[in-house]
Amino acid sequence: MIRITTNGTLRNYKSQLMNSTKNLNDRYNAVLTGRRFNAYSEDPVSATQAFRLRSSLATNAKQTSNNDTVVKKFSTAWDIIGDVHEDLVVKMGKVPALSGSNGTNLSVLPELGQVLSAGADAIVQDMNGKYGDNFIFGGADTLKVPFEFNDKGELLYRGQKVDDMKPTDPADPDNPNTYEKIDDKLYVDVGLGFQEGNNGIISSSAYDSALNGLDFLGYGTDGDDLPNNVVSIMKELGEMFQSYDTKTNTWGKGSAEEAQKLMNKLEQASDRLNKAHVELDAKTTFLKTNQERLTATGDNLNEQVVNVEDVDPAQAIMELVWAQQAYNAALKVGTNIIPQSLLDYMN
Amino acid sequence: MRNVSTFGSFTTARLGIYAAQKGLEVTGNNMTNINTTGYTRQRLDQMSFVSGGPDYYAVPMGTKVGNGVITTGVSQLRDPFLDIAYRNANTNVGQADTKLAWLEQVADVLDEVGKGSDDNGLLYKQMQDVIDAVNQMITEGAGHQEYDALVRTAAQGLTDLFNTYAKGLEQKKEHLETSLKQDVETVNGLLKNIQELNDSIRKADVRGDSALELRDQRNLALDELSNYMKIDVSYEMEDVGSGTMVEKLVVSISDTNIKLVDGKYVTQASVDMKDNYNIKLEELKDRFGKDTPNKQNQQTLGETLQGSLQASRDMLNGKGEFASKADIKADPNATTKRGIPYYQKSLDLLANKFADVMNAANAKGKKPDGTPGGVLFSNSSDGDAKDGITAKNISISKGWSTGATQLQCSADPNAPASATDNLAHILAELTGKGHKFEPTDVAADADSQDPLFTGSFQDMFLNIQGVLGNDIKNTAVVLNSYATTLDEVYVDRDSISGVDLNEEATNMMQYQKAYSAACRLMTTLDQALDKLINGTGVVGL
Repeated sequence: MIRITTNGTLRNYKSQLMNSTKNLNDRYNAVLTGRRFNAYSEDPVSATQAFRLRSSLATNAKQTSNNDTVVKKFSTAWDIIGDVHEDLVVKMGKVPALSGSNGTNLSVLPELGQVLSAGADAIVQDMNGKYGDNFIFGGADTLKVPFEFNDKGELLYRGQKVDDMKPTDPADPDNPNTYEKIDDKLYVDVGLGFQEGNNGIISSSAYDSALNGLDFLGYGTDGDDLPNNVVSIMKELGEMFQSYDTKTNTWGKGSAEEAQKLMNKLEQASDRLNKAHVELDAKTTFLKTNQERLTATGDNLNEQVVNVEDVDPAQAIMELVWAQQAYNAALKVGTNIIPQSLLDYMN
Repeated sequence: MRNVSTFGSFTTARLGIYAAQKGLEVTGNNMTNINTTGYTRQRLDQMSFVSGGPDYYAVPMGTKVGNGVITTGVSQLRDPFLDIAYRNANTNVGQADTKLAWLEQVADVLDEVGKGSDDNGLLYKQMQDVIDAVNQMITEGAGHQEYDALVRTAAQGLTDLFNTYAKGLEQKKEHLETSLKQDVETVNGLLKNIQELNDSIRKADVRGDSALELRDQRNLALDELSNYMKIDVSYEMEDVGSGTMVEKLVVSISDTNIKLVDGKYVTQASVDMKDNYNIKLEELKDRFGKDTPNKQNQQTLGETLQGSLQASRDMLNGKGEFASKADIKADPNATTKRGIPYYQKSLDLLANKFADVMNAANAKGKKPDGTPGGVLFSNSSDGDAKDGITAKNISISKGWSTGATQLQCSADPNAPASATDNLAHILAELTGKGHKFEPTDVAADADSQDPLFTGSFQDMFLNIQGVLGNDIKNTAVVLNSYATTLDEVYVDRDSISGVDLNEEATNMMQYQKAYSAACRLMTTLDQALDKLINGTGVVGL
């Protein structure tokens, strides 16, 4: 027969009471902190999962903020391009150009030419607009004024003559006077994966937030050596109109035919600007949709963090009440165990 | 010889009273020592007393009656097997308990659960802050100095945290070294104590005294010793001259022939702080410094040790995957023992790799003059040296802090200042999951050629915490199991050696009744003799 001694019983009791107290304390902590675990060792898998989710949440917040910044930049750009198209290219470009070319307003051609020149200057000013501290239409160069005129009145983009610029010639890819050379990217992490490949960031994993002013205004010349750029066209047409001598009815520069050709070019440039404007709108719409996606992802991540880390209050309180019951029962048992012995019944 | 004495029966009664009295004394001693640690329940040994031997002249009609009871001594109720079981369990508990305590100390430094604002962690969050700052710079601030400063400030916070964590681990290691030294001193104290007790018990044995209380003290000391190291205890007989044999206690390191105690000879331990924290034993000496006749040379215990001392050694030595060939030679299990050095090296590896990758990423960027971008992280704040970077010394380079070096935005020297291609590369590196954390990067002599971990910097830090968390969790489970075993063995041992009040109360009543009965016997004898002496032959008087 196993002898059960007073101290053996007490040691067992103490040990069990300690377990019960610890359990009660753990349940208290769960209710008070609202957390399922308070140390990595309590649940290493969940702790790792929770930290990863928190990191994803922080990244998501940053991506949302990046997306927001790009949306605002693009919205500002959209407004500017809208103004440039409606108020400057149409009202100060196409309208006076049409008026001048229909042959009935030849007496006011010089004035119309001034309007065209002023319109061209205004376009450049608008296209040099900023969002925050950064120039919007400078492509990857957001620190320097993108458009300016040189001494000869020629339009420059990032220091290069816009009219001299050509598409990249495969036979001479290193020619610095090519459009691709300045068609650089500003990749931003908006939650598309942001991964690096062998040749830098994989374009589909990031969003290019660079806006190249030439995509809107055009560059280079056509086969007739006429500029494609709307500013150059308006500038040249303006000069042509201004050169018209109303007394002698002669053209100082160009001719009615050349003016007509430039008119057609202006029409094309206007169409391109309009098209680019619509494309920008489509890009902004994509970003806004992306914003919604990011917000939904953020909400989802938050929910996951809560699921992994937080206790279910109802369950936690139920467990606490149960632990209290067990603890109280242990105490009750203790008051019965400790004093009982034969000695208490002796006379 | 036949008992023919008239008053002989009085002796029987007297012996009965004496035995009952002694029984009550033993019971009293047991009851009052119920809460004395290490006390072993005692029992009065008594036997029936018969005077004389076989009677040569015995006749069939002769009746031989015993002369009562005599007490032959007081003995202890103890089971040596349960002592062994208890001490083995105690060794296991000591080892797991010490390991758990020091792992939790490491967790005080590294465990970030529930720490930081909004429970986002500290170092982990700071890494995220660096990533966020670079990300923001890409979106809004390439080429603007204030954004470079934002990244630098976040990186400064990160290096400060690395330094703090490394110092925290270093302090824990120093504390553990002090603790190990104190533990060894405690072991030495216990050995000396056992030596003195052995001496006293030996003298008592020679005198014929059972010295039960001294044995209790010695057993207690042995129990305590078993927490620090696994021991084998054996009792041998020793001739002290004139054919007198006394008991000799021998304590040795379990599974070895290395003796800690050999009767009155004991060794003293010391810890070699420079040689894997090996525990060394001096030669066995008696209290006066004399050698034992069976001389035992100095011993180095190595990995044969178990118990609390070994747990401390493992925590001080354990390099895990960073173990060198020499470490593995000294301890074949070295690669699976992860102590404080493992966590120090892991943190070093993270800091080193982080600095290395960031410096390389910035160097991929080109300044307008075509030269590579400067060093961002250095091994000290007053220079730009990028070799030997650890968690303890990682700093923002002097160049970056003075502005001479900046985050290099582009890999193309002709690119505009606001280009972001190299910043994007830096961001991709910061978040990239392909970094291989090789032990040899921070421990050149590490035997393992496989990466400790492959993933992002943040994931590596989670891996460090995960390894620690799992080790703590597993150790707690093991400790719980050992503690349960210890409790069970304690109860088993107590069921033999412990005092039980019910039993003592029963004994008390029993001895009291025996006392009364013996007194009653004396009264009865007295009455009988009174009748014989005063009431016999008085008819007619």
